[in-house]
Amino acid sequence: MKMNVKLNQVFETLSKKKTALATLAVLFTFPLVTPSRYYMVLLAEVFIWALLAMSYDLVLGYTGLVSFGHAALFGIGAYVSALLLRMNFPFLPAIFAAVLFGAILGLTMGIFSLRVSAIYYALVTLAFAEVIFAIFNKWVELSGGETGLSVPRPDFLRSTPFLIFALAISVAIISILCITAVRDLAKKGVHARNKIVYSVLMIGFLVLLVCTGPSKLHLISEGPMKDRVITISIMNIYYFLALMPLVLCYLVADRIVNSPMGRIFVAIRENEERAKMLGYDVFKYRLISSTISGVFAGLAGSLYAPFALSINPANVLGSAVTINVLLYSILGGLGTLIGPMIGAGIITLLASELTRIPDIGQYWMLTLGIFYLLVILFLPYGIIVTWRLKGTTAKKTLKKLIESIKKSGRKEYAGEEGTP
Amino acid sequence: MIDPGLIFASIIDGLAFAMLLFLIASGFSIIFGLLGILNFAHGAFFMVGAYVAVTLFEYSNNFAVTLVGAALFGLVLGVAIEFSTLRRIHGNPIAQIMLTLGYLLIFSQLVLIVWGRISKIFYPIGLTGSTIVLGIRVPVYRGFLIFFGLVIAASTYLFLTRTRLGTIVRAGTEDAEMVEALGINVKRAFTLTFGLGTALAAIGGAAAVPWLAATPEMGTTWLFISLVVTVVGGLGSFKGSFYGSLLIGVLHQLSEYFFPQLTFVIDFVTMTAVLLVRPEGLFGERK
Repeated sequence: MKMNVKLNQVFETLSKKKTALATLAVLFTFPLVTPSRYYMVLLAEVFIWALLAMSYDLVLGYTGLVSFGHAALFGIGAYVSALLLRMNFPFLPAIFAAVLFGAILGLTMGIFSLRVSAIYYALVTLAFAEVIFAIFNKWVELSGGETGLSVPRPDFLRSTPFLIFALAISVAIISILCITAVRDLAKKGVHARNKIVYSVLMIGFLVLLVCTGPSKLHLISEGPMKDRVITISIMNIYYFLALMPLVLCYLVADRIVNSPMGRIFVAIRENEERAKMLGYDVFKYRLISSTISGVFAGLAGSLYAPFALSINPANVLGSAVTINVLLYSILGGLGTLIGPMIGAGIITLLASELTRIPDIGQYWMLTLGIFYLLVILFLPYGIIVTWRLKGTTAKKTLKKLIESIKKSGRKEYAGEEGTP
Repeated sequence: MIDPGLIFASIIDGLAFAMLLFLIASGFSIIFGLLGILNFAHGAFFMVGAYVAVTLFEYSNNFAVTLVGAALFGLVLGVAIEFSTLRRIHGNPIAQIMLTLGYLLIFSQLVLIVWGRISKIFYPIGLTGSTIVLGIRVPVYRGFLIFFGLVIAASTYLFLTRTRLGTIVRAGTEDAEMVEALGINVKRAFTLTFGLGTALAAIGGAAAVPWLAATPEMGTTWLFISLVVTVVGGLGSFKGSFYGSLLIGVLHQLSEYFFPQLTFVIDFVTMTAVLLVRPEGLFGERK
């Protein structure tokens, strides 16, 4: 009986997070449904960039530390895992080593924030990243120089247990989604139209899965015998290998930013002086935030190396990585965690689609640049934040407006005080 | 044994390089001082100036016309950018950084599309070749660069100290709100300053072509070096950007001669050291 009550609570919470659950289900079943390997590879890349963008959001979006050296964290992660894999280390220890290096580097970068403030911090971290880039770029024996370093695929990607594990997770997520949906349908007080839409979607989803899933599974299970099939299953594995850490890290990061510590991060971002006055050790929390960010960025790098198969200093340590991540974050919306991930998805997918168009494909960077300008000018807070602002109902907006008018006198005073 | 002649030659190179640095960094610094914008597009303006100069020289075959044309182009470009876009997001530093980054991206691509991937160079008549100074062979153009840079530095200094607009710019750097309260149109000063900074960068780019050639990567490289210079000299300080340029320029060329692998490392280590010892830069004011 007690168990049952607890289970009820779990599903109650889950039913409130239907969008998240549905997104997860779609992401986890995608490899089973899609006919295209191309999109699976592309999405695996998106997940890696999304993880990196999320790690950046922790420092920039939540703690307000403008770091321009994020590429260093990512690149170190990538190089550590690449070098260890080349020495025939197993993949998991390689990932841990990369994460450790990322954390140490993140901590080091955080230490700079003690001495310098805001805009100078951006420059010092930029300098730091550039120095690391320069060292790797010149130290050819270590980094492979401009030709790059080839990275072997980790051994366990060739085995099926991991894939079966990933598939089990997919099945679990889908069943949870189904159960939640059925429970919601059985509940009273849900609008009839919603019920119909919901059930049609669920049935369609399941039918699609049942029709296409087994044929794919069949291909995978035949795996090791045929080369072509092996590559398909490796890409399947890679998709899951990128997706699972992303989901896990998102859950952890979400937990962190909603914890008391996360509130302190935001307090520091909003007003450093006040956070200090309230007795918080600003430097300590910046260090923590920077280190956590280093962990996630290092993880993203360590996943990227065996995915890309070849890395060179310019594409993992170069300032282009930092600029890209900055763009993802701003486009999606800072301080939302999910925003930068969506930004990463939009830009990566857009880039790959645009470059495929013949003739004008080579100008995609230009298109992207103009697209950014428009976003910054018209959606200065990013897609997600703007959407959330617009998403509030008219009634709420009116309420807020009235309140703000009432409070306007006080607010002005607060504004005066806030400016340094 | 280090050859003293080599040191002399590298110092001459360093001084010439410092003048180019000054041209890009002073604009960067003035813009930061008055508008509070960390202008990431500044390297791109330098690059655009260089490429526009290439085309102008192709048609006019006259170096003076090329320099003036590039400067005017930069002025118009800067005014247009400030007036049309930057003004709309005043007071939102992250959006400003993003916007200028966007311009860096756009101009880098535009340059690739219009002028192609190959680096371009031209040789102004009368300034090619080399002369012997103190027994050392020195390219004439390096000497011209030092002279030219000093002239521009002096005239910019006079502009800032002796004209009304210059006074507004200096006052605005101290406290823009106060200047506005005095009934001065600060917004117009913002636009003009941004244009002036861009013009300085463009003329720097044009002057760099006969020595270093115009390449599509110069946008980011010069952005980084000018960042280093402004930070070492002190953000927002005109004097700082001059002495910072001299220091970094000479250091950069010396390291290029003696430790070519470590050029950028030395630049950035210098910057970090200055920041950690004196965070406001050598000539910046503690705020």
